[in-house]
Amino acid sequence: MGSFESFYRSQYRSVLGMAIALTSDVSAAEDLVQEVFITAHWRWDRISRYDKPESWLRRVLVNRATSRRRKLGSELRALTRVGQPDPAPPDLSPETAGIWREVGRLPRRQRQAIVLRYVAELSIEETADVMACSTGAVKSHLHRARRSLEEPLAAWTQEKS
Amino acid sequence: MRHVEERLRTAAAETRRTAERHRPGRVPVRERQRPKGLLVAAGVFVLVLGLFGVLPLLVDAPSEDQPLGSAPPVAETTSPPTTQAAQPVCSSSEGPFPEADTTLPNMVESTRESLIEYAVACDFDGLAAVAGETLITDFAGGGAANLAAWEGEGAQALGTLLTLFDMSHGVIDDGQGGQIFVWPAAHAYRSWDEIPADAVAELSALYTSDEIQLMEESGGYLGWRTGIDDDGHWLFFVAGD
Repeated sequence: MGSFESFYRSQYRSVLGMAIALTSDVSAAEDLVQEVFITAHWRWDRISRYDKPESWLRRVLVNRATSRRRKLGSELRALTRVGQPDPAPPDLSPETAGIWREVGRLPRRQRQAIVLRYVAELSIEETADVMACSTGAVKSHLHRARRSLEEPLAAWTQEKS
Repeated sequence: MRHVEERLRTAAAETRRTAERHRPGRVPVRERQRPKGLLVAAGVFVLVLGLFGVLPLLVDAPSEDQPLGSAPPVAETTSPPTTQAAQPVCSSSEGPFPEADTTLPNMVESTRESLIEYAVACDFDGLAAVAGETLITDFAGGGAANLAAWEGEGAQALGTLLTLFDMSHGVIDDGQGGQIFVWPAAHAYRSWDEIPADAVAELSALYTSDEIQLMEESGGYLGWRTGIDDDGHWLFFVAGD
């Protein structure tokens, strides 16, 4: 059984990158990553015996990000009513932040597939493992996601130019 | 779609660089909240140790930092009598105690495992924490509050929950590309004729043969059921139609 500390240190940056893409907010991403590692620590006796503990970690992260979005949805709606400005992610360029915002509008499974494939740089098989679905389903989610992103990203580029 | 691919790769690379600039802080550690039953048991155990003079021995035991040869004198000890810890009792107290299901996705099994743990401990707060705000327990939504109410009315909700988790599971689509894992497996079939014989047989843990016969005549499974989605959210636990 490996130590939790070495697991934490080896995986932190990788899952933080995914969390940033999923939340478009570095501070929120850090909180999310902390939550996920706390959960991993609780269950370390068991998780450390998995073939790929990092797959479990990524799965928890993408699922927690979904839960967080559900919760934030109502909070943001409430904030909008009182005129709170949209928080800007300071650590990302406007282009990248805009792309993640568009990815954030995709259906849940498509969003997860994009982040796992591009940010975590997982293979189709690894992505399927984390998402607990077939490789065919991953390809389908990715294809649909890219197609859905085509129009908003093109329109956004035109606006900029 | 080529430009989309390229822009995703560029954005992902920048995001990874941003993450690389962040150093991991201290290892996040938080004590896990234990089911209350275990806390009560631990409290009673400590009380018994204290009453019978064992606790001072443990408290005064030499630490690793203490120099050799400075251990306190050995006191006479009395064996503490065996004492039954005062755990809350409800319909789940006598089991069944479902085993781990390695065929389930980790997130689903993790939630199932937590629910079993809290149900065995009669810990309604723990169950409510897992349920969150989305659990459906009746036609009006219901939430986790119904669990204690049902148990108080003698409906044996927690015992039923354990019995369900002791059965085989089925899988249904959530209509949005995800899956919902349901217990009993019989609930995953649209008509009674499609339910495999094994899945029908295990219903006898909850229902009499007359009740099962009634369901067969009505054309589908109508009884207690529960479901967890592939994100690990506990979605429903309802008494049936």
